[in-house]
Amino acid sequence: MTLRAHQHATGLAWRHLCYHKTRSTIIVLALAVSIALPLVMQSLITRGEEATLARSTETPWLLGAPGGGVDLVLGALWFLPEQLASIPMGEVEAIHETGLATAIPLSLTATASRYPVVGTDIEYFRFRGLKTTTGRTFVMPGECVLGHQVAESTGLSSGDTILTDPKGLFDIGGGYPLRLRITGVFGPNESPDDSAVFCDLRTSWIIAGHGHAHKAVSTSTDPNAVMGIQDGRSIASSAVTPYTELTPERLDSVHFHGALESLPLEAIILLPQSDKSGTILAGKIDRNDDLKLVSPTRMIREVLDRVFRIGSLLAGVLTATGIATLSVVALVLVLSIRLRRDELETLRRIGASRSATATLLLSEVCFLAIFAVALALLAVWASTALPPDLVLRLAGS
Amino acid sequence: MCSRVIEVEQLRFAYPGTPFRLELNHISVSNEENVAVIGPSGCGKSTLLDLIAGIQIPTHGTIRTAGQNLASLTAANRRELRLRKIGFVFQDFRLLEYLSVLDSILLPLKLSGQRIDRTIKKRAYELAERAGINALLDRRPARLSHGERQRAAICRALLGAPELVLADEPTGNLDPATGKAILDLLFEQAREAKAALVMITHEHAILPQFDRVIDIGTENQAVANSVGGDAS
Repeated sequence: MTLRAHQHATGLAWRHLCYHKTRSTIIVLALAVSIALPLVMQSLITRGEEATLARSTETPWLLGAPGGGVDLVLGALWFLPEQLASIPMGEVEAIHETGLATAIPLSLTATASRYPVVGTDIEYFRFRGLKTTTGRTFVMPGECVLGHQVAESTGLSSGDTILTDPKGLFDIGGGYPLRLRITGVFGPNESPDDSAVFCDLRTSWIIAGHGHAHKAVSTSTDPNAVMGIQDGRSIASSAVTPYTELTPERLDSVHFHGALESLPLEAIILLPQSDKSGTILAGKIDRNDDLKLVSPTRMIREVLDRVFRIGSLLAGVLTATGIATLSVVALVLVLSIRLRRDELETLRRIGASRSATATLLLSEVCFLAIFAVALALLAVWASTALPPDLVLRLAGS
Repeated sequence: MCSRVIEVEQLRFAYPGTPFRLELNHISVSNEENVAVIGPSGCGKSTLLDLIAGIQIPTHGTIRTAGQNLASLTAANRRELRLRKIGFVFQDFRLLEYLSVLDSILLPLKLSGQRIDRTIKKRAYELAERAGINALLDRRPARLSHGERQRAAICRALLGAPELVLADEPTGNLDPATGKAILDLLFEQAREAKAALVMITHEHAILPQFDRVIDIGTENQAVANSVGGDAS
């Protein structure tokens, strides 16, 4: 049989597939899904693992209150709404005084338009490599900078304002929502920082109700505004409502209920000067029962070992499903050959060689396989093009 | 010049596990001859065509088709012979559903590995025109009438200029008027192609149109002996 006869047989196969478009498409899709699912799953797991570890390996140590280390890591690194116990702000100063590490404070209690509000200082932006693409970072209470994703999805930018979310509708003792002035927007960072609103610590504490600003209280102007006088200072009654927006003119009236060192932080990122400094610091902190030092990498590895073990199991299940699907497709092909018995008999009677008939049938299988593999690879490629943040969500971490 | 396209000598054939027997002492068909094959159902008409085409192998005897002794040919050679020297017309047309009329006509040449050049396509168009289906070349069988399908099948059988056309009741599925038109077309096309035509038919009214009639019911010694045995 000549090469041209094989080419013609291949052409016949193509025409047969085109004629049975629906059947061919279903087989290609079924094949593609069975090939792609385990591959995409594996790719997502691997990339999810890498993305998760990348965020954690960037952060050498986290300091927080004793409790769940995983919660601390998820809250401080991914700003997940975990309820974290607090440690006093004074710990930041204490660490700075040791000269062993840089301490970056994080206050993580509020949200604005459902995005986490992260109270921190400028050091955090240097550490994470966050740079504003429009505007500037905050310089005083009442100002905030939006992560890239927040700005994109809310449509807000420099000069606009964003309102913090009340803790609860019936939380009458809670702080008032605060209108934050947006001073800038960070460029894309492909990390949870893209989905956060950043403000300074004082703003964060004011949102949490640890401080506020309001009109000057004086008995001469409004007798109901003063509940009493202690040590020569007026004690405001509940008739005095705090400002819901901090402007430069109102900054003088900002005050906190307690010393700044005692105000709460949910976490402190520790950047040791060296490995040795880190070890010394870890030893010091280890002796303090009120603090918990966590290595995010170690913590996340433990979590990943559990999460991705389930992922691997799922990939195994998908592989088994894929094999089952391939078997069904093979059965469909065998049955379709049976259904084509008349056609094959006609070809035999006309004089088609066995190899021509084999080429016809094999070409069909090859065409289906080629399209299925191409589609599957496209799906795998598309999954690799997903941003790490989305990968993390898909991978379920 | 008159030469034999088919020569059958002392043919013996049986389907294993069945009582069927075909025993023919001698049959020959010359080129350009039109031969009708008749006989009662089950007497072996279609089997004879299969044997002549090399689709079935006789248990005994000699069959020479288009000058080739089939016994000396391999299965592949017999397929090659069918592809190049024999045209087939079936009762149920046997057109592939996914091929257009033009592709159906070209099918045997494609399967034999021939390059489908302009000359071949022109010949296909001419055949289709003579068969009256030149306007239907892009259509698939599902959109053709039975008569049109059989015309396409006749064109398919004749495009390769075969020496022999084997037709198994080609008008069996057609109404009388269409059947007559198809028969006329088959005769005309076979004559123009200078091919011998061997056609199985149950229609005795058309037998006068053939050069010769072979009655397998009479020629098949197995049937004749069986009938004789029963009679005695």
